[in-house]
Amino acid sequence: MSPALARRLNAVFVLAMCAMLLGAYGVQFGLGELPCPLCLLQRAGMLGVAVGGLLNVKFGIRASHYGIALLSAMLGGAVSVRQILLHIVPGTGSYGTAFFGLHLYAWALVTFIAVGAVIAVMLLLDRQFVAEPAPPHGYPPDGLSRAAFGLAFVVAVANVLTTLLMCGLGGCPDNPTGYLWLR
Amino acid sequence: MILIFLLYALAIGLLWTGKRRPAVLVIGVTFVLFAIWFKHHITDPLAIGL
Repeated sequence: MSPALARRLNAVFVLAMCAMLLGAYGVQFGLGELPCPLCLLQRAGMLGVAVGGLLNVKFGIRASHYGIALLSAMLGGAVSVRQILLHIVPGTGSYGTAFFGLHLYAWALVTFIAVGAVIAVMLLLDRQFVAEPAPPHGYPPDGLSRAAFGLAFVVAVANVLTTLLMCGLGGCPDNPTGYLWLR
Repeated sequence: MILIFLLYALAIGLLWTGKRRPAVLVIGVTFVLFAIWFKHHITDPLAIGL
């Protein structure tokens, strides 16, 4: 796999992570199910994975960039596991609506595991790691990388705004019922 | 929690403008905040029902 193709694949990967985060917004605004603090942390984990991909897109493929993405996936996965275990015993309830039999925190764990697998496969491909350094301020953007950066930035800012509306400047409630700043 | 998302937005902005090292530093801070925030929310480690 050539370095250029690997950078393009990373841009697609970033767009896929952003699509997951937009899906969460679909549940939030479409079904009115507000994210709990653990849910927000899982969103942050997915954003961290996307940022790892953006590092590859802008500055060329490096193992450390994949490491940042993988670390984010592991942190996000830990939160998902925690939330699953809180509800794993029958009768302890659940959080949110199930989609195809799994709640969003379970789907999040599936996503984080899949991210790990994708990164593992990408790390098998040595040709993407070139000795030639990237330009000092990174590769000039093309359409795909502009889309990846743009969508990731929009998703990050959107999460700032919606979390602010929901929690204000204080801590977020464990079981949010509405938007604090819209009451 | 807002701070983590704000820092990610900042990191993305720094990456876009070609500032790799500051962006990586910001990402490092988000990891620390993430761990602190996660620990803060595990108020009852034995609540997992096992």
